[in-house]
Amino acid sequence: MNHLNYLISAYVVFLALPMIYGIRLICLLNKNSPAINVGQAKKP
Amino acid sequence: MKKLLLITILALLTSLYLIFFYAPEEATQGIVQKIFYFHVSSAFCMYFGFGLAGLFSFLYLWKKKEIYDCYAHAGASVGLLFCTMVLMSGPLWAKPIWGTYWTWDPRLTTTLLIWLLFVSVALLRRFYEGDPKGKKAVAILTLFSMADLPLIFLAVKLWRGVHPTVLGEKESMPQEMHITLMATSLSVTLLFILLYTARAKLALLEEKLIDRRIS
Repeated sequence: MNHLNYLISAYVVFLALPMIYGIRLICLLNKNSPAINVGQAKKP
Repeated sequence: MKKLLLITILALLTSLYLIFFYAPEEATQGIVQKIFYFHVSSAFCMYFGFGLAGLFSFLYLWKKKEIYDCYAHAGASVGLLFCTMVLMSGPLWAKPIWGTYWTWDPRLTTTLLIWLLFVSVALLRRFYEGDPKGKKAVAILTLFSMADLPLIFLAVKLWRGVHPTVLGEKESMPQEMHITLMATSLSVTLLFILLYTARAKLALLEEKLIDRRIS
């Protein structure tokens, strides 16, 4: 691998990791998310 | 939150422009040295994240307020993300420069150690979900893990290793590189603030959910 490939790989890491983490947070923060709504008492 | 997201994206794009078009190419390392800007900035945010986790864990043990545990949770989680970024980008820079992806240098070893410690913090939190005794155990383990944080910082000064010292070498760095590092650190810190805020908000919602489940 030449130097450019290492540089691209590192920047893909910098781009991908916070993006995956951020998207996961957005999905969980969504008010319709089961992570937030699960466990609510069943209304009679 | 949306404004912060927009500002962060703009700041990160500006940083990328500075890295690739403003900062000069390093004389001996060439283009691969450009990993440096995000690698160092991520390391700063790793310190912020774990530092906040330690501070709020201490406050939780002292004041017993749930909100401090939520803030500690967010700090540990986002700190772990930035630590992972540091540990993944470091070897990608090390391979072409040192000739190896990994070496048991003091800084590298202490950084891997804190990553493993905070993974165990995350696992312990998941294991004890919603249990007040578990929260105490998580806070104690976080404070124990914090002992490694100053060691990472001092590792390059205390023990001889191959990892370079960044702070204190500003004089030898050209001004363009220095400005780019500062701008990148600022934009990555904005990213940290954004993710930390979202994670803390989520931790508070999770806390409410657990309370509702119990009641």
